[in-house]
Amino acid sequence: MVETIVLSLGAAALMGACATIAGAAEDLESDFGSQSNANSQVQLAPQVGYLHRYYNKAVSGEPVAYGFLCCTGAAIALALNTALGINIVISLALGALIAALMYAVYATTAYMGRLTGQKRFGQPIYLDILYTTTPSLIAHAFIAALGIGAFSYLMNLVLGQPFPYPILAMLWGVIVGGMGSAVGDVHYGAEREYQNKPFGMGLPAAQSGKIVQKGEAGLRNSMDVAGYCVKHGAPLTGFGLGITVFADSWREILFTQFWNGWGAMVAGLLLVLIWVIANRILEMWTRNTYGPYKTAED
Amino acid sequence: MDPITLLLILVGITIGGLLVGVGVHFVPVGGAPAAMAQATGIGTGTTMLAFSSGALGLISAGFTVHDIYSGSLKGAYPNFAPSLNDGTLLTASGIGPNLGAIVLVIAAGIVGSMLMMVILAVMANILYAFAIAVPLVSAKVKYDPITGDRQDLYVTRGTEGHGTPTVALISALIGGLLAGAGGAILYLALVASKFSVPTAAFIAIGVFFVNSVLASYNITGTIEGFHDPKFKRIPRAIIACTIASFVLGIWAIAIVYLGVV
Amino acid sequence: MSEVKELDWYTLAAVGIIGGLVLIILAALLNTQLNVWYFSFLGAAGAILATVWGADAVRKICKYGIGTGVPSIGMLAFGMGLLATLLGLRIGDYLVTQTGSSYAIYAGPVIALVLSLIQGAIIGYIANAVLKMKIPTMQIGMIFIAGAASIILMGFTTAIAGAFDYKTMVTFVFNTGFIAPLFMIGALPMLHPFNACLGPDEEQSRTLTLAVEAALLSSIMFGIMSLFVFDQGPNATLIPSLITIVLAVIGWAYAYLAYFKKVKESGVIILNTGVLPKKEA
Repeated sequence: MVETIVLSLGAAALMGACATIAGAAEDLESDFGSQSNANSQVQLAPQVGYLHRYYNKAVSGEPVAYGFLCCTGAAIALALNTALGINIVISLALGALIAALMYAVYATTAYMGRLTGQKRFGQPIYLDILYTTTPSLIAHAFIAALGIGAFSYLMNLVLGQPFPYPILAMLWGVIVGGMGSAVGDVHYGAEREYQNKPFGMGLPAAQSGKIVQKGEAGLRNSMDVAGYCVKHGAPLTGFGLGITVFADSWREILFTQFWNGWGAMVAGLLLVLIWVIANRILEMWTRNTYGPYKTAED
Repeated sequence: MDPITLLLILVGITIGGLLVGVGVHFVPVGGAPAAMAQATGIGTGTTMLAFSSGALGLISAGFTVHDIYSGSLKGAYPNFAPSLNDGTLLTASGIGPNLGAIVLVIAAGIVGSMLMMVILAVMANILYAFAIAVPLVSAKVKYDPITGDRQDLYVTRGTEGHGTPTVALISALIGGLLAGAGGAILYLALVASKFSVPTAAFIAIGVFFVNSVLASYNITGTIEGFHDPKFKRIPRAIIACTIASFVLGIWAIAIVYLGVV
Repeated sequence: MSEVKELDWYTLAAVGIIGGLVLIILAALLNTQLNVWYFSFLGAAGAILATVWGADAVRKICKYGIGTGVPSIGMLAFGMGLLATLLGLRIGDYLVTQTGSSYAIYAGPVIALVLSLIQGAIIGYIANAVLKMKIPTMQIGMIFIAGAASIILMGFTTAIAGAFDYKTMVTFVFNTGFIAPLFMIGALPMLHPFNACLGPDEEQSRTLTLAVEAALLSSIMFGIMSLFVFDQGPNATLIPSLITIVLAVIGWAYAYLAYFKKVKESGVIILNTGVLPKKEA
């Protein structure tokens, strides 16, 4: 019994590490491609006269995109591993590679398609942006797919989750996409995309679409964006996913043996309570440190 | 297959789908504007945010069903495995002895879903607090209904709020609770009908998607939670999700009637 | 701007339904009669026709400004189509045991399609009447995308496993976990074209070319996954999967180049590199 718990805990720790790396890679990849939320501004910019050199990867939004990337990688790994007898680690890597290549094809067609769909605003298709950014996209998508495929496999094999690991990879892919969209994209959208606006405020509606065109040296492109977001947004996304994977596995492994399984539920609820209290403290801190934008009339 | 079992499965699927649809309305969705610190809420689309939390609830429920069926909890709930094998879990005589197990599975779905929701919201808040340096406020109410904090002074002029304040967070937890419970009930109803585990999981995902998308059509964009005026649209979603889940349930019990295996 | 005549969506529906069903049934028929697995790729071809149908239906629904984004539609379509398709295929299996004739299995896809169309009609009615979305093309559009989803599911199942009956689907598609990519990269070629070409200058021919390209890309993936089914056990053979993969790669390369040609022909400025163009004041 103790051995199983130790083995499971070790696997959970490894899973948490894989998830952290995968989460960071996911957010960086979505910054390279300017995907989902912040992309609405990149889409709007030519219409308000702000031409740009960002990538415009409008592939369905991050949760769905990572859902299909990770589940395809895991499914191909399953096929290669069982049919051709290739070692599972190499299968996962090959699966992730093929899925990342497919993903990049979707990215290029989206870039070309969106810009052609708004050709009347005069935004050109830059082939050099396509050629230089897409390989970075493939690389980070590969890391993300491999990380998520690997920990889905471990979850199925070592922790005993009954779903087959392609289905697990799809579910975790949607979760990592949601995490990247909620956490990492804010760093890109509110901070880097509007770097020339004052720090410490949200984006007024009137400023929508007026994104930064000129970078630190030369014109801003999506490589600069990823180079900036890797310092805060991406690690935070990775941390969020790693904590989710680890906390959920940890409470299930250690506490299921108490109170006929209710131990794990109580542990989970306690964790939720701790996070809610932490949020309240954070909320109070921001109100006190930053202060109001205007004073009360009364 | 006796009619009571079929009816219970149908009721299970309908209730599961309905809970999902209702839960989606509680989740604070900021959508694309939230990623620009222009709106309160979590910066993902409605459908996929609800699905992310439901996904973790489903994984958690799957774990628990497996534990009770053949894992470490087998001794604590001895009636569960035979009921599942015979397909008698959802009968008049099967529910009673297995009530503890059923409640545990639903609780697992709830806890998984709530955990995902709170981590999504709070990690985003950490980023809003330190990278964007904005307070966490809503522009839809003047005073936070739960904490009583003044909101409108702390909202950037021209935006609809930023971050996820306490009222939105509590609303998110309620949404996670309902969506997770719905997902777990769907999964349990399907596994009790002797569908294989992956089939049951994926049909549950399919029904989850249908209800989640219909609810997001009702919301049409962004919603901040139960304090948002758009929340009053919920009766339409209740009718829509009940009908949709009922029809999907009819297909499911037709498969069960013809023989699942 | 020349007025290119758009293909009517009933025409595309006919192509999708008849072409899709014929190719899927042909694939399974040839496989069973000749006792080989080489014709599985025809299932993928049927799915490609259905994808074009579905992509056009998505286009017609979303042109009215659906308010919540295009990807949800694909997920809705597949969520609706999944259960109805399973039931239809189960009825097909049931008819085989009832009538004793093995040809009754070919009624399965037709029943699955009809049930999906009914499901789509119900959801379309709910969306327009209960949720008050009031989009004129929603009712027919929902029927079409549910039907397209059903044929895509059955077509790619045939490509992966060589047959579409209920037992095969549950054993080789659901229990292995392949249903996950089937769902996701089956839905994506339907919703990606309109989402990717979105804009005031969107054109049907370019959008549908992209649909074909995306569906062929998915076919490559399903060909690799079919290795699991065909390359294991006593009759392990690489050939059926290789046929699907090679044909899909060639088709995809052709479709991608056709899409790029359409992009160039549309008149958008394509630059190899450069600074931002000066706007005439």
